[in-house]
Amino acid sequence: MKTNIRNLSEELSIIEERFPKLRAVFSKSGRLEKLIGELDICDDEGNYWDTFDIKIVIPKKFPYAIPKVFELNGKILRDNDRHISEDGLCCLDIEHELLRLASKGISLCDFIVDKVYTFFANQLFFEKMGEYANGEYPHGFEGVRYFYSKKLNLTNPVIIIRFLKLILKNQIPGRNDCCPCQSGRKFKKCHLKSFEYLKSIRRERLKEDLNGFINMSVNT
Amino acid sequence: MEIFKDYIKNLNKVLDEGNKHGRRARKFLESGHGISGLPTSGTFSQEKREKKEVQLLPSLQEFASTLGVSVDLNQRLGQHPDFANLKSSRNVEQHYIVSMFIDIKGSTNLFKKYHPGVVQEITQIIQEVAIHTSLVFGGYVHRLQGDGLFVYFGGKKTEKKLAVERALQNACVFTYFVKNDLRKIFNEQGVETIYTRIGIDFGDDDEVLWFCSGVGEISEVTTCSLHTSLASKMQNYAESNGVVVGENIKKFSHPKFFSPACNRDKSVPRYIFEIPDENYRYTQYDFNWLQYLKIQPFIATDQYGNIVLKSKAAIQNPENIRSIARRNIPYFANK
Repeated sequence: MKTNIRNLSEELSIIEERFPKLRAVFSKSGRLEKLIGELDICDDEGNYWDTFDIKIVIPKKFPYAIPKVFELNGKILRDNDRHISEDGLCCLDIEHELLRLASKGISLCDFIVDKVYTFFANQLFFEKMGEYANGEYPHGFEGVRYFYSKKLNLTNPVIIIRFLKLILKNQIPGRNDCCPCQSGRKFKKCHLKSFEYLKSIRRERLKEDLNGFINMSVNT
Repeated sequence: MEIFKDYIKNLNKVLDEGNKHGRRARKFLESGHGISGLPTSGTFSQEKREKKEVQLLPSLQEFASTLGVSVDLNQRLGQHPDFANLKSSRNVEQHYIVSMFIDIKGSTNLFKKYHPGVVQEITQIIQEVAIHTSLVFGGYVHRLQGDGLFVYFGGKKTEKKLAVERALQNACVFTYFVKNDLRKIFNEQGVETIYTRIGIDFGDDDEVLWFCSGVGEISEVTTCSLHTSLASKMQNYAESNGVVVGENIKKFSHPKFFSPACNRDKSVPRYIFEIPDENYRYTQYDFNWLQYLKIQPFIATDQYGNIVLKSKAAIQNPENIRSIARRNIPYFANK
């Protein structure tokens, strides 16, 4: 499998240089269990904004599973609209994006830069502006629907269901076949990339999406 | 670093003035007329600067306030206030101290481009930064040595661990200034940069004797200690913009910031002092000052690990954080 990951000790030494206030905690068996400490947020102009006490819990299947990030000092209001749970678990991104990342193997340092740092920067942006810098996903399944629409250019639940069933049965059209969306265009020129994206996501997640879209179709 | 911006402003003024006059001064020297008749330093920039800066300049003063430090500007060389009672006496006192030698190297290169009046102004500002920074971190400037400084940290009201911590912070902040701020200015001016080398050591209560050295008014209250001597000696083994410390210093801090100096360069002895017959060996360590600086409570690091000062006056313009924030689209699953 093609991965993005570096050697863990190399990763930790980069993290120590870039995020020196995060401390690595290992289990007795030597497995990296978590990173804990402070994360400073600064802007592009070199201005300091704030510091968050955070904990990044590393799953046993890391780098092929998603770390959980907690904000520990209650600086962010515990509210669904702030995308944080009562216990401080931060909803960094829609699960599909994180799963895709995990499918390739997560680089811990890149994860902090791309997912964690940006989440907290966005929280600070929200505090100043009352909105997120690039919008937000609606809560619950509506967010999944929004993701399919924005990221995969798939809006019609009937077509989405068709796509998901094909992927789950491993029936992938040929590149020059007609696209299953029935647009009349060749697959390679239509939804090939969306298919490839979905293929990289764990099957359990796709099944969950399939059920969600089926329920949605039934209810409408 | 933002805390030195007022000093940098002064330095830039002096360099600008120096650039205007530098060529004339060189030609004059080449003509073999000697230096008499050259413009005095006053002609260069003295009138544009305050007299010698007794007060901290505002940017550093603000930093001192952020740290909650009040700076003692009434210090006198050779008379540590906690041991001033020893002046003109024959008494001795045992008390711990942290000794730091800050050497500033490379200022000779300035003569290639500037008139001595300008060189004097430049080195004066650098020395002001060194002195003022030491004061902010609670140091006592014991002696000036050429362009460099000999500073004590600690005293009767200061815990040993805090004294060591302050000395290390001082070394970090000053070295950062020389390595980054100063280098940037000098590079812009096409001048070979100046660099610093620092040596630090800690002598415990039973290892340091305070006494009055000299005769009558030709005297100073100073220390007799192996570790004061070693601080000076270790400074010689530091690399450019490097800090070397004795193993006593390492005991007070996290070992990850220290590595034996011989690991860097095999020609550097591992032991800065040894008495083989007594099996006594004292190791000198390179201090990873940049990494230590990054974990200081007054410092933040950005996403690339660059140093940013945690300033109360930082301008928080949402437009400046937008490009980072917009890479995140948060989601709440409602599970």
